[in-house]
Amino acid sequence: MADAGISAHKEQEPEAAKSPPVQTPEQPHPASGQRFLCAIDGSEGSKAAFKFLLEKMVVAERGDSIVLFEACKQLSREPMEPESRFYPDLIFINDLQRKMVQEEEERRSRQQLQKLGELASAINVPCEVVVATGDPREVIPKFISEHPVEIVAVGSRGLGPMQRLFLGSVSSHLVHHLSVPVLVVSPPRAKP
Amino acid sequence: MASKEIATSNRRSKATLGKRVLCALDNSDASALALQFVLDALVKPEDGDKLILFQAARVIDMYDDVEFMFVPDNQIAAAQERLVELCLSNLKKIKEQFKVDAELVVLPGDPRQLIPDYVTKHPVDMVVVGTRGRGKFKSLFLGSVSSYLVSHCPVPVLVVPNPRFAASLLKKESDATAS
Repeated sequence: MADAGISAHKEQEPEAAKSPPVQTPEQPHPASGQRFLCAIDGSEGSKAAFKFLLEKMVVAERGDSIVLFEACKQLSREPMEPESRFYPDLIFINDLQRKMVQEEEERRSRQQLQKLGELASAINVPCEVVVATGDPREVIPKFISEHPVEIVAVGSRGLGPMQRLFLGSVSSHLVHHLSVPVLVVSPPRAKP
Repeated sequence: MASKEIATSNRRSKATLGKRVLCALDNSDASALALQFVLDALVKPEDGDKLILFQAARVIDMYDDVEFMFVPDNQIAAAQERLVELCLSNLKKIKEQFKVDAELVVLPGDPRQLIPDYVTKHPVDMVVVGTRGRGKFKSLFLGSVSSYLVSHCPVPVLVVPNPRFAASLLKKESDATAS
């Protein structure tokens, strides 16, 4: 297993330029604010997790903040490595090409996360965007050990090919291995 | 998901309605930890959050429950009711201990069916469980009920970990591999 190192690019969400009409009578108290980490991978479950955090869990007045976290797939050199199953048609000629595609992936993730972050700024909740590369089962616990949060919100199933019967591999791994409470959100079921 | 939609549906910023949290209890250490977390960090009375303490009482089975073996058949129902009453009084004691405003619900049956059923019929925003209760498989990190609820509950489920139990499991594994 090669470099599973984190190249985390953090960007602070700029404060909303125009303040929303309904606003905070009292100043936010950062000391009592809680930090939530929302793990995003583009699946419906993770979007539902973020939506649930915004609607029911975060309170702007208390200084709550959200960290939007996405773990990008690590593209490896060898075509036969397990990670390459996501990109079966890509065989990189050299390291430069691989780096370019990797950076493109990270940029795409960051853009998507920032779009989600705008929803948070609409209600005046600070939102931090973090994009890391590697296996989410490793990078998320590592990130949390360095940046403590109160609650981690994940979707119940992701986009991966391993659709386990009950719970996705990443969410079940996080539930078992984190010392922080994990909130598992299922995607809304389509009612016939 | 338009931002306007989120702004209007975020009732928290207007501090009108709070969330309703159901905490599943079964007299185990793990569920006590879950309740502690709920009280410390999750339910904020000033936001109007409501707490529901939920316990699934054991269904009396003459063959499994030795103490009920000699109870005549026509008194099983009464014994079951007394069990439910006992659970309710335990919950009341917990409620007094923590001084929390909570709704107490005790129903006989399997929590894996009762909790999703209760959640579809009553307004509940999230369910909180501990990692492992008093079930039979003590080596599992996530008990059968918690792991079932996580994937079969219509509302989000928060799993509160038990650090000491996790540490003891890891220690057992390392002892097993060492020897």
